[in-house]
Amino acid sequence: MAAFISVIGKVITAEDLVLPKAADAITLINKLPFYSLVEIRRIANGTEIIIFDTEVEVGQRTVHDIRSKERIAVGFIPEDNVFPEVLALREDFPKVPHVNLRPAEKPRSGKKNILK
Amino acid sequence: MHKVTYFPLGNADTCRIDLDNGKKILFDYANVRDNNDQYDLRIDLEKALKDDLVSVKKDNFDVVAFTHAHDDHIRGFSSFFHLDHADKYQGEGRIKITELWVPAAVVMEEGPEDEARILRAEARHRLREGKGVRVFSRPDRMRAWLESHDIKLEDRKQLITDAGQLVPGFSRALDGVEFFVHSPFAEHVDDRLEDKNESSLILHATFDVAGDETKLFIVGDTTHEILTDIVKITKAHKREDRLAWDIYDVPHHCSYLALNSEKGKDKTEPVPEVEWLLSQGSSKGIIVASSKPIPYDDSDGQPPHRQAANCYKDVRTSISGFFKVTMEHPEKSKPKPLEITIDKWGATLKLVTSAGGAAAIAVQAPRAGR
Repeated sequence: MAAFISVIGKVITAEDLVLPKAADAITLINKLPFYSLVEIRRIANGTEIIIFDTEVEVGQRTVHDIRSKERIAVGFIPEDNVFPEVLALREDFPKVPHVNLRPAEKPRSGKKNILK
Repeated sequence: MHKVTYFPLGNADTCRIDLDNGKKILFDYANVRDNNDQYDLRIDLEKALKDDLVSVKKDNFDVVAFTHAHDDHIRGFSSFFHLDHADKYQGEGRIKITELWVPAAVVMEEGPEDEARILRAEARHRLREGKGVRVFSRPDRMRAWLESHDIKLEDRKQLITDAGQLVPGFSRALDGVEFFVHSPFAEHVDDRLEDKNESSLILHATFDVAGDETKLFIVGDTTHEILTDIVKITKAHKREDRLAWDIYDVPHHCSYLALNSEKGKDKTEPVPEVEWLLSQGSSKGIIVASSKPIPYDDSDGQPPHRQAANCYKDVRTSISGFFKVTMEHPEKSKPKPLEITIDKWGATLKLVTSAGGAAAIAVQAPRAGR
């Protein structure tokens, strides 16, 4: 069983979301196959974070240890002036070449350090 | 790149293998959809297969293998294929079969009806003609029938393949695949050979892409007793590699009887040999059940059984792989063919689907890791 990095914030429901893009993302996750919602959180500055599992189209033999199912967090900030931050939550998610530079090494990827 | 495609047909089976060299191999043909029912979610198999053949300018399958002659594996085949044995099964638009593969029971069975009778006639015709057919059997088992038709066994031996052999006509070097025969097989009982699993063809395919192997266990319909025999025999011959799998074809529409005689309350516990077989799955292996959606309860005694599905889901979890049901992929309301590509990366389950209403947009599932 994979270990996941915990996400800060208070757990909320889809009905509690106030950021339109976060609400749209929930609609999409519920509509598409290969995605399943885990939970939604909101942190003090109003950032809303959607956490979901996704099945990944990946071969059996890979250069990097990407699994057939990965847990992802997407953070939406109230200002809506940057792309949503996307983070891989698996504790041992590999350091792949295309991760974004961010202050903390884990979770992997992202543009702003909205998750601790 | 090779490709394996399973078609959403409810509790019925059809699987197509497209080899990188252009050869096409079809396992079973069950065109079960009711085209007069607009709510029937099963695929129009005739159209799907013909559209694919047209796209590559072919009018034949290089091999059509019928694992056995039950309705859910052969329905409608006599309307689709060009059959050599009678004019009425010939004509424009019919798809030719270069080589027909059948287990001995299809040829030997007495009193089959409907499509099974037509399949027997075609197999017998090709066997009499001495071409375009491969029968899976212990050769001696065919002797009496052949002699009753004034044919010497020695003149047809090249068309008969026994368990434990590789199927002639395919090689790793030329085709990138070889097929190993597990069943039908015979077992020593006291001092005589007893033919087991009279009805079903069970094969193990090893794909070879520049030395990287990917293994597909083609089980069809069978029981845990037969699987147990196969595991014991194969181990006795020290051929465990012929039971390793990257893709596992779940037997009999996810019936518990392919795991154990006892269904179990919430999960079927496989008998020891089947448990061992399931443990031979490699990392990120793909388990495919050709069946209706897995039910939430036991109100319908027919497969699929949720208890069996729970067993396969546990295997899926243990190998970080996939367990997919043809009528649930990619979603229950819109099942589509389930495609698996085979290349140097092993087996990859394709997760392409479409979302939205009238203005459907192709959506590529997340892709990563190479």
